[in-house]
Amino acid sequence: MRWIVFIIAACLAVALDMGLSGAMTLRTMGFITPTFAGCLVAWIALFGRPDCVLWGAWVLGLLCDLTPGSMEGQGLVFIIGPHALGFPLGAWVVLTVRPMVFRDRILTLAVCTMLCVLAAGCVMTVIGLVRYWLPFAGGEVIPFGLGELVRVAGDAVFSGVLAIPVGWLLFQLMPLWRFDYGVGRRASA
Amino acid sequence: MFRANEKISRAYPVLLVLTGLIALLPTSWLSWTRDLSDVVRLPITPLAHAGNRLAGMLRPVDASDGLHSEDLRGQLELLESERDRYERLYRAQRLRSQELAAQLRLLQHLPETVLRAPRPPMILPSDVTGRNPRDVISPVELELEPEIVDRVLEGDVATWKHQYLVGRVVRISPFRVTVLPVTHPDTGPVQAVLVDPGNRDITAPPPRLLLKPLGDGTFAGEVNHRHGTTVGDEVVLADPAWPDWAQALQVGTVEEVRQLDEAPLRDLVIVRPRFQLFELPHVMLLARDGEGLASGDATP
Repeated sequence: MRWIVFIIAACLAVALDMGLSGAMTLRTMGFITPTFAGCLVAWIALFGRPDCVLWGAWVLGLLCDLTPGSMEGQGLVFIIGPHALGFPLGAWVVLTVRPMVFRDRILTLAVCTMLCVLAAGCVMTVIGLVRYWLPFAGGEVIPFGLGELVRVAGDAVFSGVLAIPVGWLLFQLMPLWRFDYGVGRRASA
Repeated sequence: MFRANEKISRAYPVLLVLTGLIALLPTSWLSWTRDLSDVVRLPITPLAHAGNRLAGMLRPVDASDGLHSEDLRGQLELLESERDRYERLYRAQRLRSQELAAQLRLLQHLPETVLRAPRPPMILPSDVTGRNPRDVISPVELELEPEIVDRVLEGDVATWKHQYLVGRVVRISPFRVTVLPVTHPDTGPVQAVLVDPGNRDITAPPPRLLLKPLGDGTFAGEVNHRHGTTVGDEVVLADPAWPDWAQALQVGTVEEVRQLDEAPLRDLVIVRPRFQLFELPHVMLLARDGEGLASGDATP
Protein backbone atom coordinates (compact mmCIF):
# COMPACT_ATOMS: atom_id res chain seq x y z
CA MET A 1 0.00 0.00 0.00
CA ARG A 2 1.29 3.40 -0.91
CA TRP A 3 1.44 5.39 2.32
CA ILE A 4 1.34 8.80 0.67
CA VAL A 5 -1.94 7.90 -1.04
CA PHE A 6 -3.30 6.64 2.29
CA ILE A 7 -2.27 9.83 4.14
CA ILE A 8 -3.96 12.03 1.52
CA ALA A 9 -7.08 9.86 1.57
CA ALA A 10 -7.09 9.89 5.40
CA CYS A 11 -6.89 13.70 5.53
CA LEU A 12 -9.68 13.91 2.98
CA ALA A 13 -11.87 11.42 4.85
CA VAL A 14 -11.44 13.18 8.20
CA ALA A 15 -12.11 16.57 6.56
CA LEU A 16 -15.29 15.20 4.96
CA ASP A 17 -16.38 13.77 8.32
CA MET A 18 -15.83 17.20 9.90
CA GLY A 19 -17.71 19.04 7.21
CA LEU A 20 -19.68 17.42 4.44
CA SER A 21 -21.13 14.54 6.47
CA GLY A 22 -23.17 17.16 8.37
CA ALA A 23 -25.28 17.55 5.24
CA MET A 24 -26.17 13.86 5.44
CA THR A 25 -27.06 13.68 9.14
CA LEU A 26 -30.52 12.27 9.83
CA ARG A 27 -31.48 14.82 12.48
CA THR A 28 -34.91 13.42 13.21
CA MET A 29 -33.50 9.90 13.70
CA GLY A 30 -31.03 10.45 16.52
CA PHE A 31 -28.43 12.30 14.43
CA ILE A 32 -27.36 9.20 12.52
CA THR A 33 -24.37 10.21 10.39
CA PRO A 34 -22.25 8.22 7.94
CA THR A 35 -18.48 8.20 8.25
CA PHE A 36 -16.05 8.49 5.37
CA ALA A 37 -13.20 7.39 7.64
CA GLY A 38 -15.01 4.10 8.34
CA CYS A 39 -15.27 3.48 4.58
CA LEU A 40 -11.53 4.09 4.23
CA VAL A 41 -10.64 1.68 7.06
CA ALA A 42 -12.78 -1.02 5.48
CA TRP A 43 -11.17 -0.32 2.08
CA ILE A 44 -7.58 -0.72 3.27
CA ALA A 45 -8.59 -3.69 5.43
CA LEU A 46 -9.95 -5.47 2.35
CA PHE A 47 -6.84 -5.06 0.24
CA GLY A 48 -3.86 -3.97 2.35
CA ARG A 49 -1.17 -6.04 4.06
CA PRO A 50 -2.30 -6.80 7.65
CA ASP A 51 0.49 -4.82 9.33
CA CYS A 52 -0.11 -1.80 7.07
CA VAL A 53 -3.85 -2.08 7.67
CA LEU A 54 -3.54 -2.05 11.45
CA TRP A 55 -1.06 0.83 11.48
CA GLY A 56 -3.20 2.74 9.00
CA ALA A 57 -6.34 2.17 11.08
CA TRP A 58 -4.55 3.49 14.16
CA VAL A 59 -3.30 6.60 12.33
CA LEU A 60 -6.75 7.29 10.92
CA GLY A 61 -8.31 6.76 14.36
CA LEU A 62 -5.82 9.17 15.90
CA LEU A 63 -6.71 11.81 13.29
CA CYS A 64 -10.42 11.32 14.04
CA ASP A 65 -9.79 11.59 17.78
CA LEU A 66 -8.17 14.98 17.24
CA THR A 67 -11.27 16.46 15.58
CA PRO A 68 -13.82 18.70 17.35
CA GLY A 69 -16.25 15.90 18.13
CA SER A 70 -13.87 14.26 20.59
CA MET A 71 -13.52 17.24 22.93
CA GLU A 72 -14.29 16.84 26.58
CA GLY A 73 -14.14 18.78 29.82
CA GLN A 74 -13.97 22.45 30.72
CA GLY A 75 -10.65 22.84 28.88
CA LEU A 76 -12.01 21.16 25.75
CA VAL A 77 -9.20 18.65 25.51
CA PHE A 78 -9.20 15.85 22.97
CA ILE A 79 -9.63 12.27 24.15
CA ILE A 80 -7.26 10.04 22.23
CA GLY A 81 -8.44 6.46 22.10
CA PRO A 82 -12.07 6.01 21.08
CA HIS A 83 -11.29 5.98 17.36
CA ALA A 84 -7.60 5.04 17.71
CA LEU A 85 -8.68 1.78 19.35
CA GLY A 86 -12.03 1.40 17.59
CA PHE A 87 -10.72 1.53 14.03
CA PRO A 88 -8.01 -1.13 14.59
CA LEU A 89 -10.70 -3.42 16.01
CA GLY A 90 -12.92 -2.70 13.00
CA ALA A 91 -9.96 -3.37 10.68
CA TRP A 92 -9.22 -6.60 12.52
CA VAL A 93 -12.82 -7.76 12.03
CA VAL A 94 -12.58 -7.06 8.29
CA LEU A 95 -9.15 -8.73 8.07
CA THR A 96 -10.68 -11.78 9.70
CA VAL A 97 -13.57 -12.09 7.28
CA ARG A 98 -11.82 -11.06 4.08
CA PRO A 99 -10.66 -14.53 3.00
CA MET A 100 -14.32 -15.54 2.95
CA VAL A 101 -15.65 -12.75 0.74
CA PHE A 102 -15.43 -11.57 -2.86
CA ARG A 103 -13.28 -8.51 -2.30
CA ASP A 104 -13.65 -6.88 -5.71
CA ARG A 105 -17.36 -6.15 -5.20
CA ILE A 106 -18.68 -2.78 -4.04
CA LEU A 107 -21.32 -4.58 -2.01
CA THR A 108 -18.56 -6.39 -0.09
CA LEU A 109 -17.00 -3.06 0.80
CA ALA A 110 -20.41 -1.79 1.96
CA VAL A 111 -20.95 -4.79 4.25
CA CYS A 112 -17.36 -4.61 5.57
CA THR A 113 -17.83 -0.90 6.26
CA MET A 114 -20.92 -1.72 8.31
CA LEU A 115 -18.98 -4.30 10.33
CA CYS A 116 -16.04 -1.99 10.78
CA VAL A 117 -18.13 1.02 11.92
CA LEU A 118 -20.20 -1.18 14.21
CA ALA A 119 -17.10 -2.62 15.91
CA ALA A 120 -15.49 0.82 16.19
CA GLY A 121 -18.72 2.34 17.54
CA CYS A 122 -18.93 -0.31 20.27
CA VAL A 123 -15.35 0.45 21.36
CA MET A 124 -16.09 4.20 21.45
CA THR A 125 -19.20 3.63 23.55
CA VAL A 126 -17.32 1.38 25.98
CA ILE A 127 -14.50 3.93 26.38
CA GLY A 128 -17.04 6.71 26.98
CA LEU A 129 -18.75 4.58 29.59
CA VAL A 130 -15.49 3.61 31.34
CA ARG A 131 -14.39 7.25 31.42
CA TYR A 132 -17.71 8.19 32.95
CA TRP A 133 -17.48 5.55 35.67
CA LEU A 134 -13.79 5.99 36.53
CA PRO A 135 -13.65 8.50 39.40
CA PHE A 136 -10.39 10.11 38.26
CA ALA A 137 -11.00 10.32 34.51
CA GLY A 138 -13.51 13.19 34.67
CA GLY A 139 -15.51 11.72 31.81
CA GLU A 140 -18.79 13.33 30.92
CA VAL A 141 -22.16 11.70 30.95
CA ILE A 142 -22.82 9.94 27.69
CA PRO A 143 -26.36 9.11 26.69
CA PHE A 144 -25.66 5.43 27.11
CA GLY A 145 -28.42 2.91 26.77
CA LEU A 146 -30.24 1.07 24.08
CA GLY A 147 -30.57 4.36 22.18
CA GLU A 148 -26.80 4.74 21.95
CA LEU A 149 -26.37 1.24 20.57
CA VAL A 150 -29.18 1.80 18.09
CA ARG A 151 -27.45 4.99 16.98
CA VAL A 152 -24.16 3.12 16.52
CA ALA A 153 -25.99 0.52 14.45
CA GLY A 154 -27.66 3.31 12.46
CA ASP A 155 -24.28 4.94 11.81
CA ALA A 156 -22.97 1.57 10.63
CA VAL A 157 -25.85 0.98 8.21
CA PHE A 158 -25.71 4.54 6.86
CA SER A 159 -21.92 4.28 6.44
CA GLY A 160 -22.48 1.04 4.52
CA VAL A 161 -24.83 2.88 2.17
CA LEU A 162 -22.28 5.68 1.78
CA ALA A 163 -19.61 3.06 1.01
CA ILE A 164 -21.38 2.23 -2.28
CA PRO A 165 -20.55 5.52 -4.09
CA VAL A 166 -17.29 5.93 -2.16
CA GLY A 167 -16.36 2.34 -3.00
CA TRP A 168 -17.06 2.91 -6.67
CA LEU A 169 -14.67 5.87 -6.60
CA LEU A 170 -12.03 3.91 -4.69
CA PHE A 171 -12.23 1.01 -7.15
CA GLN A 172 -11.61 3.48 -10.00
CA LEU A 173 -8.50 4.68 -8.17
CA MET A 174 -7.29 1.18 -7.26
CA PRO A 175 -4.02 1.39 -9.30
CA LEU A 176 -2.93 4.43 -7.29
CA TRP A 177 -2.94 2.43 -4.06
CA ARG A 178 -0.57 -0.30 -5.25
CA PHE A 179 -1.82 -2.91 -2.82
CA ASP A 180 0.95 -5.50 -2.56
CA TYR A 181 -1.02 -8.23 -0.84
CA GLY A 182 -3.05 -9.19 -3.89
CA VAL A 183 -6.59 -8.20 -4.70
CA GLY A 184 -8.09 -11.55 -5.58
CA ARG A 185 -10.19 -13.61 -3.22
CA ARG A 186 -7.55 -16.30 -2.85
CA ALA A 187 -4.70 -13.87 -2.32
CA SER A 188 -5.24 -13.58 1.42
CA ALA A 189 -6.13 -17.20 2.08
CA MET B 1 -7.50 -16.78 7.90
CA PHE B 2 -5.90 -13.68 9.41
CA ARG B 3 -4.19 -14.20 12.75
CA ALA B 4 -3.42 -11.44 15.20
CA ASN B 5 0.33 -12.21 15.23
CA GLU B 6 0.68 -12.38 11.44
CA LYS B 7 3.53 -10.08 10.32
CA ILE B 8 2.61 -7.48 12.90
CA SER B 9 5.32 -5.43 14.51
CA ARG B 10 5.87 -6.12 18.20
CA ALA B 11 5.52 -2.42 18.83
CA TYR B 12 1.90 -2.44 17.72
CA PRO B 13 0.36 -4.16 20.77
CA VAL B 14 2.42 -1.86 22.99
CA LEU B 15 1.08 1.11 21.07
CA LEU B 16 -2.49 -0.10 21.53
CA VAL B 17 -1.97 -0.56 25.27
CA LEU B 18 -0.48 2.94 25.51
CA THR B 19 -3.42 4.34 23.54
CA GLY B 20 -5.80 2.56 25.92
CA LEU B 21 -4.03 4.09 28.90
CA ILE B 22 -4.12 7.57 27.37
CA ALA B 23 -7.83 7.10 26.68
CA LEU B 24 -8.41 6.71 30.42
CA LEU B 25 -6.23 9.58 31.63
CA PRO B 26 -7.90 12.37 33.61
CA THR B 27 -9.07 15.29 31.51
CA SER B 28 -6.72 17.64 33.35
CA TRP B 29 -3.70 15.65 32.08
CA LEU B 30 -4.69 15.91 28.44
CA SER B 31 -4.21 19.60 27.70
CA TRP B 32 -1.30 18.70 25.38
CA THR B 33 -3.79 17.07 23.01
CA ARG B 34 -5.07 20.53 22.03
CA ASP B 35 -1.64 21.52 20.71
CA LEU B 36 -1.26 18.14 19.02
CA SER B 37 -4.64 18.63 17.37
CA ASP B 38 -3.71 22.12 16.19
CA VAL B 39 -0.56 20.84 14.51
CA VAL B 40 -1.88 17.56 13.12
CA ARG B 41 -4.96 19.15 11.59
CA LEU B 42 -3.15 21.91 9.72
CA PRO B 43 -3.63 20.18 6.33
CA ILE B 44 -7.17 19.05 7.18
CA THR B 45 -8.73 22.35 8.21
CA PRO B 46 -8.87 23.96 4.72
CA LEU B 47 -10.51 20.82 3.32
CA ALA B 48 -12.98 20.68 6.23
CA HIS B 49 -13.76 24.36 5.67
CA ALA B 50 -14.64 23.68 2.03
CA GLY B 51 -16.71 20.66 3.12
CA ASN B 52 -18.65 22.77 5.61
CA ARG B 53 -19.38 25.37 2.95
CA LEU B 54 -20.59 22.69 0.60
CA ALA B 55 -22.73 21.17 3.36
CA GLY B 56 -24.20 24.61 4.04
CA MET B 57 -25.14 24.96 0.37
CA LEU B 58 -26.54 21.44 0.11
CA ARG B 59 -28.58 21.69 3.28
CA PRO B 60 -29.26 25.32 4.22
CA VAL B 61 -30.48 25.85 7.78
CA ASP B 62 -32.62 28.85 6.88
CA ALA B 63 -34.66 27.25 4.12
CA SER B 64 -37.85 29.07 3.26
CA ASP B 65 -40.03 26.27 4.71
CA GLY B 66 -41.76 25.62 1.41
CA LEU B 67 -42.91 29.21 0.87
CA HIS B 68 -43.44 30.38 -2.72
CA SER B 69 -41.87 33.53 -4.08
CA GLU B 70 -45.18 35.48 -3.72
CA ASP B 71 -45.43 34.44 -0.09
CA LEU B 72 -41.84 35.42 0.48
CA ARG B 73 -42.43 38.82 -1.15
CA GLY B 74 -45.44 39.41 1.09
CA GLN B 75 -43.45 38.33 4.12
CA LEU B 76 -40.63 40.65 3.14
CA GLU B 77 -42.99 43.63 2.86
CA LEU B 78 -44.46 42.82 6.26
CA LEU B 79 -40.98 42.58 7.76
CA GLU B 80 -39.97 45.90 6.22
CA SER B 81 -43.00 47.67 7.66
CA GLU B 82 -42.33 46.10 11.06
CA ARG B 83 -38.70 47.12 10.85
CA ASP B 84 -39.68 50.76 10.15
CA ARG B 85 -42.14 50.72 13.04
CA TYR B 86 -39.58 49.36 15.49
CA GLU B 87 -36.96 51.81 14.25
CA ARG B 88 -39.32 54.71 15.05
CA LEU B 89 -40.05 53.24 18.48
CA TYR B 90 -36.33 52.73 19.09
CA ARG B 91 -35.50 56.33 18.23
CA ALA B 92 -38.29 57.64 20.47
CA GLN B 93 -37.16 55.47 23.37
CA ARG B 94 -33.54 56.43 22.84
CA LEU B 95 -34.41 60.13 23.07
CA ARG B 96 -36.43 59.47 26.20
CA SER B 97 -33.60 57.41 27.68
CA GLN B 98 -31.06 60.16 26.99
CA GLU B 99 -33.36 62.72 28.59
CA LEU B 100 -33.78 60.58 31.71
CA ALA B 101 -30.04 59.85 31.86
CA ALA B 102 -29.27 63.57 31.71
CA GLN B 103 -31.74 64.27 34.53
CA LEU B 104 -30.27 61.46 36.64
CA ARG B 105 -26.74 62.70 36.04
CA LEU B 106 -27.70 66.22 37.16
CA LEU B 107 -29.52 64.95 40.24
CA GLN B 108 -26.73 62.63 41.33
CA HIS B 109 -23.82 64.84 40.20
CA LEU B 110 -22.32 62.04 38.17
CA PRO B 111 -19.64 62.50 35.49
CA GLU B 112 -20.84 62.40 31.91
CA THR B 113 -19.17 59.12 31.06
CA VAL B 114 -21.02 57.08 33.67
CA LEU B 115 -24.39 57.00 32.00
CA ARG B 116 -23.19 56.71 28.45
CA ALA B 117 -24.56 53.69 26.66
CA PRO B 118 -22.06 50.92 25.88
CA ARG B 119 -20.55 51.05 22.43
CA PRO B 120 -22.10 48.64 19.97
CA PRO B 121 -20.13 45.44 19.46
CA MET B 122 -18.06 44.65 16.42
CA ILE B 123 -19.77 42.14 14.16
CA LEU B 124 -17.32 39.65 12.72
CA PRO B 125 -18.66 36.94 10.40
CA SER B 126 -16.76 33.69 10.55
CA ASP B 127 -17.09 30.36 8.73
CA VAL B 128 -17.31 27.06 10.58
CA THR B 129 -14.31 24.87 9.76
CA GLY B 130 -14.92 21.89 12.03
CA ARG B 131 -17.89 20.32 13.74
CA ASN B 132 -19.28 16.99 14.80
CA PRO B 133 -22.66 16.46 13.14
CA ARG B 134 -23.45 13.53 15.47
CA ASP B 135 -23.36 15.58 18.65
CA VAL B 136 -25.89 18.35 19.15
CA ILE B 137 -23.81 19.98 21.89
CA SER B 138 -20.38 19.50 20.38
CA PRO B 139 -18.08 22.55 20.18
CA VAL B 140 -17.39 23.94 16.72
CA GLU B 141 -14.29 25.53 15.32
CA LEU B 142 -14.25 28.74 13.34
CA GLU B 143 -11.94 30.08 10.70
CA LEU B 144 -9.27 32.28 12.19
CA GLU B 145 -8.97 35.53 10.28
CA PRO B 146 -6.60 38.37 11.16
CA GLU B 147 -9.51 40.58 12.20
CA ILE B 148 -10.73 37.91 14.62
CA VAL B 149 -7.27 37.35 16.09
CA ASP B 150 -7.03 41.03 16.94
CA ARG B 151 -10.49 41.59 18.33
CA VAL B 152 -12.19 38.43 19.58
CA LEU B 153 -11.63 37.42 23.19
CA GLU B 154 -12.70 34.41 25.20
CA GLY B 155 -16.25 34.98 26.39
CA ASP B 156 -17.42 36.81 23.27
CA VAL B 157 -20.73 35.79 21.80
CA ALA B 158 -21.60 33.83 18.65
CA THR B 159 -24.95 34.56 17.02
CA TRP B 160 -26.88 33.45 13.99
CA LYS B 161 -28.36 36.27 11.91
CA HIS B 162 -27.81 38.84 14.70
CA GLN B 163 -30.90 37.49 16.42
CA TYR B 164 -30.25 34.03 17.81
CA LEU B 165 -27.72 33.30 20.52
CA VAL B 166 -25.87 30.11 19.60
CA GLY B 167 -22.64 30.00 21.58
CA ARG B 168 -19.72 31.57 23.29
CA VAL B 169 -16.01 31.69 22.43
CA VAL B 170 -14.10 29.45 24.83
CA ARG B 171 -10.68 29.16 23.24
CA ILE B 172 -8.55 31.06 20.77
CA SER B 173 -5.44 29.27 19.60
CA PRO B 174 -2.97 30.44 16.97
CA PHE B 175 -4.84 28.25 14.48
CA ARG B 176 -8.54 28.37 15.31
CA VAL B 177 -11.34 29.72 17.47
CA THR B 178 -13.43 27.24 19.45
CA VAL B 179 -17.03 28.08 20.28
CA LEU B 180 -19.07 26.16 22.84
CA PRO B 181 -22.82 25.99 22.18
CA VAL B 182 -25.03 27.75 24.68
CA THR B 183 -26.75 24.40 25.31
CA HIS B 184 -23.53 22.70 26.48
CA PRO B 185 -23.57 21.87 30.22
CA ASP B 186 -20.16 23.55 30.66
CA THR B 187 -21.67 26.88 29.61
CA GLY B 188 -23.61 26.78 32.87
CA PRO B 189 -27.11 27.99 33.71
CA VAL B 190 -28.38 31.00 31.77
CA GLN B 191 -30.78 33.66 33.05
CA ALA B 192 -33.53 34.54 30.60
CA VAL B 193 -36.98 36.08 30.36
CA LEU B 194 -40.10 34.85 28.65
CA VAL B 195 -41.36 37.20 25.98
CA ASP B 196 -45.09 37.67 25.86
CA PRO B 197 -45.96 37.33 22.16
CA GLY B 198 -49.35 38.96 22.51
CA ASN B 199 -48.19 41.96 24.59
CA ARG B 200 -51.01 41.13 26.98
CA ASP B 201 -49.80 43.28 29.85
CA ILE B 202 -47.01 45.66 29.06
CA THR B 203 -46.68 46.96 32.63
CA ALA B 204 -46.06 43.56 34.22
CA PRO B 205 -42.38 42.56 34.30
CA PRO B 206 -41.65 39.53 32.14
CA PRO B 207 -41.17 36.32 34.10
CA ARG B 208 -37.52 35.43 34.63
CA LEU B 209 -36.25 31.89 34.58
CA LEU B 210 -32.96 30.14 35.12
CA LEU B 211 -32.30 27.81 32.21
CA LYS B 212 -30.16 24.76 32.88
CA PRO B 213 -28.69 22.94 29.86
CA LEU B 214 -29.85 19.33 29.84
CA GLY B 215 -27.09 18.06 27.56
CA ASP B 216 -29.39 17.10 24.71
CA GLY B 217 -29.58 20.50 23.07
CA THR B 218 -32.41 21.82 25.27
CA PHE B 219 -32.77 23.78 28.50
CA ALA B 220 -35.04 23.27 31.48
CA GLY B 221 -36.33 26.05 33.72
CA GLU B 222 -39.11 26.81 36.13
CA VAL B 223 -41.63 29.61 35.81
CA ASN B 224 -44.64 30.80 37.78
CA HIS B 225 -47.71 28.80 36.80
CA ARG B 226 -49.86 31.98 36.85
CA HIS B 227 -48.01 33.40 33.89
CA GLY B 228 -49.70 30.89 31.64
CA THR B 229 -46.69 29.90 29.61
CA THR B 230 -47.60 28.24 26.35
CA VAL B 231 -45.69 26.19 23.83
CA GLY B 232 -44.03 28.44 21.29
CA ASP B 233 -43.35 31.38 23.63
CA GLU B 234 -40.00 33.02 22.97
CA VAL B 235 -37.23 33.10 25.56
CA VAL B 236 -34.56 35.79 25.38
CA LEU B 237 -31.31 36.28 27.26
CA ALA B 238 -31.32 38.55 30.32
CA ASP B 239 -28.17 37.55 32.14
CA PRO B 240 -25.74 40.09 33.66
CA ALA B 241 -22.94 37.51 33.34
CA TRP B 242 -23.12 37.84 29.55
CA PRO B 243 -21.99 40.93 27.63
CA ASP B 244 -24.43 43.85 27.33
CA TRP B 245 -24.86 43.42 23.61
CA ALA B 246 -25.88 39.79 24.04
CA GLN B 247 -28.92 40.72 26.11
CA ALA B 248 -32.29 40.14 24.44
CA LEU B 249 -30.85 37.74 21.88
CA GLN B 250 -33.21 34.82 21.42
CA VAL B 251 -32.22 31.72 23.37
CA GLY B 252 -35.04 29.53 22.10
CA THR B 253 -38.71 28.78 22.17
CA VAL B 254 -40.77 26.88 24.72
CA GLU B 255 -41.19 23.31 23.52
CA GLU B 256 -42.97 21.78 26.49
CA VAL B 257 -44.74 23.00 29.64
CA ARG B 258 -45.38 20.66 32.59
CA GLN B 259 -46.91 21.55 35.93
CA LEU B 260 -44.65 20.34 38.72
CA ASP B 261 -46.34 17.86 41.08
CA GLU B 262 -44.08 18.82 43.99
CA ALA B 263 -44.67 22.57 43.42
CA PRO B 264 -48.06 23.07 41.75
CA LEU B 265 -47.57 26.84 41.52
CA ARG B 266 -44.61 26.38 39.22
CA ASP B 267 -44.29 25.04 35.70
CA LEU B 268 -41.32 23.20 34.28
CA VAL B 269 -40.58 24.50 30.80
CA ILE B 270 -38.34 22.88 28.22
CA VAL B 271 -36.75 25.39 25.87
CA ARG B 272 -35.18 24.42 22.56
CA PRO B 273 -33.02 26.82 20.52
CA ARG B 274 -34.39 27.41 17.04
CA PHE B 275 -30.90 26.99 15.57
CA GLN B 276 -28.21 24.77 17.02
CA LEU B 277 -24.59 25.79 16.64
CA PHE B 278 -23.47 22.49 15.10
CA GLU B 279 -25.80 22.83 12.10
CA LEU B 280 -24.66 26.31 11.03
CA PRO B 281 -22.20 26.88 8.19
CA HIS B 282 -21.13 30.26 9.58
CA VAL B 283 -21.82 32.52 12.56
CA MET B 284 -21.53 36.17 13.57
CA LEU B 285 -19.17 36.90 16.44
CA LEU B 286 -20.04 39.91 18.55
CA ALA B 287 -16.75 41.27 19.85
CA ARG B 288 -15.89 44.16 22.10
CA ASP B 289 -14.89 47.34 20.35
CA GLY B 290 -11.20 47.75 21.16
CA GLU B 291 -11.29 51.57 21.17
CA GLY B 292 -14.26 51.63 23.49
CA LEU B 293 -12.57 49.22 25.83
CA ALA B 294 -9.42 51.29 25.90
CA SER B 295 -11.28 54.46 26.82
CA GLY B 296 -13.32 52.64 29.45
CA ASP B 297 -16.66 53.10 27.72
CA ALA B 298 -17.58 49.51 27.08
CA THR B 299 -18.85 47.38 29.88
CA PRO B 300 -17.19 43.96 29.83
